[in-house]
Amino acid sequence: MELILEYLTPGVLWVVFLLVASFVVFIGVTLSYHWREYATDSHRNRRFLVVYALMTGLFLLVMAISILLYSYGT
Amino acid sequence: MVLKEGEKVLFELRRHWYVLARDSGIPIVLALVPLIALGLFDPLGVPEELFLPVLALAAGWFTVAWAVFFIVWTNYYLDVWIVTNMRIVDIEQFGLFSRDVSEFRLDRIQDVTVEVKGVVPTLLGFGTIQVQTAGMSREFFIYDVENPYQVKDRIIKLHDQAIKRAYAHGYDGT
Repeated sequence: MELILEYLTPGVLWVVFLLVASFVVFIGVTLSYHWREYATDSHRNRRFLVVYALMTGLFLLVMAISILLYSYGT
Repeated sequence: MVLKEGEKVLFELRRHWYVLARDSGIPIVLALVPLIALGLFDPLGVPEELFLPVLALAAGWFTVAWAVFFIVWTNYYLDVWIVTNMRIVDIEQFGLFSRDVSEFRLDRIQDVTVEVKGVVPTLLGFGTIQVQTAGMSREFFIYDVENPYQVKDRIIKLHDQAIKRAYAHGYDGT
């Protein structure tokens, strides 16, 4: 267990955070382009994008707060 | 999609929700893994120091699973038949960067076939509609559409109306 804690440093977790954030931002930009260009109902498209952004933002916030608390705790 | 003069979108056809549920299986299973991992903390006596890093990784995992689910949803949502009073636009979304758009006029329809194959499609009432058009003998498919028999009847009715309109405007059948 100590070995896991040794590897799971806040630095490593921040790198994972940046990788995840980059991935979801890239997917978000790609999807919003698709909805804007190809879908027929612009109101619904905006709603989809808001739902995607809210949920993604919530998960990333939980991740960031956990890493911050972990950083101050260690 | 740009509508022509006097053209109205009548309805859109998408695949049955079962297809979305089936294709979402992988991201949903992915999302469950950290829940199970977090649930094992107490019974296995895993030290509390690990809780925060595992929570951070779980949140990251959820984020990725959520993004994957949205890709599946987008593929489902953008794979559509748009039926107007003049034509049917067949948009096939094969992935985020692969797309095929074709269209045919309602008055060019020659044959509409419905195929409901298998236990699940029969129970849930979805199937494939195949439309054959005149001219290039091209066939168009929409897979796993809900209530395919009703959709077929609506398409045939629209075809009849389009033929009547075409004759009224001097169409000679060629």
